[in-house]
Amino acid sequence: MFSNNKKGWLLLSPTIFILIIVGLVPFFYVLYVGFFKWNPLAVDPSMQFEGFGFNYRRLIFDGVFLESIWRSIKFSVVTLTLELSLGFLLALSLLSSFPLKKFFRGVHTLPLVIAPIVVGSIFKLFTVQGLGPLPHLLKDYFGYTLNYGMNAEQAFWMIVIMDIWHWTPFVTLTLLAGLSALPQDPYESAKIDGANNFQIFLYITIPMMVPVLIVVIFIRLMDSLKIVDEVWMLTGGGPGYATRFTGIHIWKEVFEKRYYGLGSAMSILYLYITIVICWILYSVMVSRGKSED
Amino acid sequence: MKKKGFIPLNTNWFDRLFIGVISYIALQLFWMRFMESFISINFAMGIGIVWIIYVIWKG
Repeated sequence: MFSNNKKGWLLLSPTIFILIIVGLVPFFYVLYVGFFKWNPLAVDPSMQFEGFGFNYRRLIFDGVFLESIWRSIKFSVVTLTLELSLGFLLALSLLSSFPLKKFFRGVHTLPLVIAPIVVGSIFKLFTVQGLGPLPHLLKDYFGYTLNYGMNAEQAFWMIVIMDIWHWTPFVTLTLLAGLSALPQDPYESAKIDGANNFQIFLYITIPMMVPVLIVVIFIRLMDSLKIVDEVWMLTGGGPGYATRFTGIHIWKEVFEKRYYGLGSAMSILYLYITIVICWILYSVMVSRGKSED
Repeated sequence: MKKKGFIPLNTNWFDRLFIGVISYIALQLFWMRFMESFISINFAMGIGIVWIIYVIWKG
């Protein structure tokens, strides 16, 4: 195989080399460190091997870690559902023509180019109690107290709103590209057969959009499962454990407490859970798509 | 070459290896959490390896 495609392998070799250096080597190193008890600030700063399952055994009994996984999954499901619904609606509206459409599309896309840490600080400046304008407005006009530094529910939903604001444009743009590329023949046939708009949407648009939807769902699902910086900026994982998603939890264990071994095991376990969720979702969606064909 | 065994999907050998390893890890974690106080984890390892071979062969 190699001798037949020497030129191809030669051209691919820089990419393969970089992938190995930035992908495989760190992965296997984290996997390796995950089997050790290692805290460089402890009395014994060396790496101590205490069995392959040592850190993993700790983790499956660690309530805070398990709760952070559940919180991350809940967050991902909520944001994914809302972003997809809103994104689809916006993409459909952007298909039709209305005044200032191009301006709206440009403004709507702006959050996409903002770095997550900046999104976090924008929301913090806008919503923090005693400084931001939003709590004042809500209090003055609706009598509603917004203080996510004290209220766990508010903190969670504030993160959800922030994520929706940041990432819905991505969903909209991707779905808009998919919708624009759909063939028009099935729509004309359906109209001749007397289908109404809702039936056309349900039986023609959605099935034809499945490949695009799969891509969007996967990108957003994986992104939302590994959310860190926006949350770190807005709430720092608080109040209490209310917004301590798994990424934040790993960060705190590794960089604040210096539990390198445990943190590595957490990362590997979380990667495993992400892979399982994505694989199940992919299998279900692909098999359903095939059965509809 | 893809085939259909007891897994309700068309899979090649690498898919079945992947499913085997994923379920092996799940079994180890489940065993550590709920069974290890009664039965050693080595049993789970043995069962898991047999399971991986079975999935690759018949899955």
